[in-house]
Amino acid sequence: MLTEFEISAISLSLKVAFFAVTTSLPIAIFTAWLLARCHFRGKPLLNAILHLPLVLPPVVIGYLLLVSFSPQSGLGLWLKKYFNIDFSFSWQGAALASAIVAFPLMVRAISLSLETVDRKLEQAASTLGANRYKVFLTITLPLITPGILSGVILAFARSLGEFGATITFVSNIPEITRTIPLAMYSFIQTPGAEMQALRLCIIAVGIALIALITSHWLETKMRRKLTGN
Amino acid sequence: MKISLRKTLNDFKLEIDTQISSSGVCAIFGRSGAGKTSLINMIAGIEQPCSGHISTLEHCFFDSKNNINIPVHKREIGYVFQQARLFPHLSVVSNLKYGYKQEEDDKGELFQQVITLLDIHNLLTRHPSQLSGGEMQRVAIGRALLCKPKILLMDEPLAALDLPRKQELLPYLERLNKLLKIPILYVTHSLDEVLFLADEILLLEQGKIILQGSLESVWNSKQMRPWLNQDRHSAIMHTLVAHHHNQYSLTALALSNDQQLWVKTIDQEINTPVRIRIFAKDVSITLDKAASSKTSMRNILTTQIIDIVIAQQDVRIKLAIGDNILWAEITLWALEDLKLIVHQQVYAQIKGVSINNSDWALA
Repeated sequence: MLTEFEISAISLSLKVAFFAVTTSLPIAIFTAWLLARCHFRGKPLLNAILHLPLVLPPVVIGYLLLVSFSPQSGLGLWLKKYFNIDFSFSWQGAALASAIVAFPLMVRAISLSLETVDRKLEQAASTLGANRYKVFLTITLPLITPGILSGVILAFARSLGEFGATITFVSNIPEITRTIPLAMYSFIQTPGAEMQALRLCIIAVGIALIALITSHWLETKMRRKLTGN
Repeated sequence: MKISLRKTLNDFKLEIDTQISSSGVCAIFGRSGAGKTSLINMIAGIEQPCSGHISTLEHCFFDSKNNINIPVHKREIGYVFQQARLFPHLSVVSNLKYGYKQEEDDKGELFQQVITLLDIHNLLTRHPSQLSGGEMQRVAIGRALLCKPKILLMDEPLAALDLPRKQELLPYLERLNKLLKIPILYVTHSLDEVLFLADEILLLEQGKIILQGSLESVWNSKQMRPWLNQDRHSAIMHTLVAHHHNQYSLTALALSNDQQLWVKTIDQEINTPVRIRIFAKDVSITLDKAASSKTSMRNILTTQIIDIVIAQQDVRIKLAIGDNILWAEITLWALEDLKLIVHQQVYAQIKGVSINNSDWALA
């Protein structure tokens, strides 16, 4: 069965992806709402900055993170001092790198589904005495759950596959930052470890398949609930 | 309710200054694009007037001078839209209870009342997608009523339904109208709905009120004529159910001056106020009253000509029966042969069978 080394790589990968997605989800919903519903100056700029991680080489993102969050930088010091968070060379750093790389995918999926929500339903809710928060929580949010779900799946998948930014930012430390892609990279670099690389490759394919099937199943279930069929 | 507002949108100008009575149904009637929906949207707070003032007896919704603009959710209005706008992710009962305050309705009386009134008992567990158009609209009305609104706004609630669904829903609206003690503003461009539901009509044209008054007075006015073209030209009379003739399935309606009008059975108790619509093409004029044994006409009413309107080949005679108005359509030839003149006393003959179920409503 699985070796200890593989188990540690898998659990680390899942942990990093899980935290990357859950912590960035509320921010992604808010950003998507800003983009889909609000008109303000500087919106094109925000939109461009948001999409940067999609077009920049991951190594550039890793480098930028390294520079801004290193313990020598002001931001790194401040975080360490007041929140006791250290992103450098830790799994939290790997999660941060994954979150940033996956963020535009999540926002796009959510804002697309926000645009398809019928504003007339929200209007109807407000005539029934609901303030804007209640409208958002009881009408808008339930109606965009399929969009949120597909955003989450995309982001989760992107996080699992994150390589460039992670290795640049937090390096390739066994059991701390060595996720599945990084572990595979190490095996490929090592002469005679082709078998281990192949095993990890099969594991990666397996995880991806399970994630895709689950997401499809969840999505059909959710759509059924939304339309009542 | 006092409404005074201005709104300019591109080259469309809406200018309203009116008062609406605090009970009964006020139909806002007019062509599409006359500003009907905009008007009730501004009352609801969904749209904003450029300037003006909207207030009910108790509350001020909007006042541009004092910078008052109560948000939609605090106006305590019920709004039934053209499309039902049920929330697709909620069941019927959750839709109904969306704005419902359970704690203010301790025995659930209001809830039961609304459900019974709209007959939606067996729909509660369903999902909006499993309802027909008419059922959806009933749920939407129930949902609005359960918020205990102070005013009910309805924007062509029947317009999106096909004819059978319309006829299915209309009786519910009629009942609603009789039971509710709140004013209802009802936007429509359908004469049938006006006949069945309205107590008061507000005639809107190009953003302005051109006439406002009771159903009968507006219906019989000059401004309504463009709506009552050719074979739809008609008059509304207010009557009381006088007695029933079971053998012949007929009902006698009492007009204000001791005259009676026989129509097909109207299944209502004696002395129920009823309004009926009589089409001008069903009314003819005679100078001598034939004995009822010599004619099939059961309704021969003594009337006085108050106006003669000649439009090309058609002549419409406006007749007064007490304080009711009646229109008769005759030919130019008949007009010249009979030598009819204004103020002349004539007899109006109306076929009793021409008045059917879609021509009367409770007043």
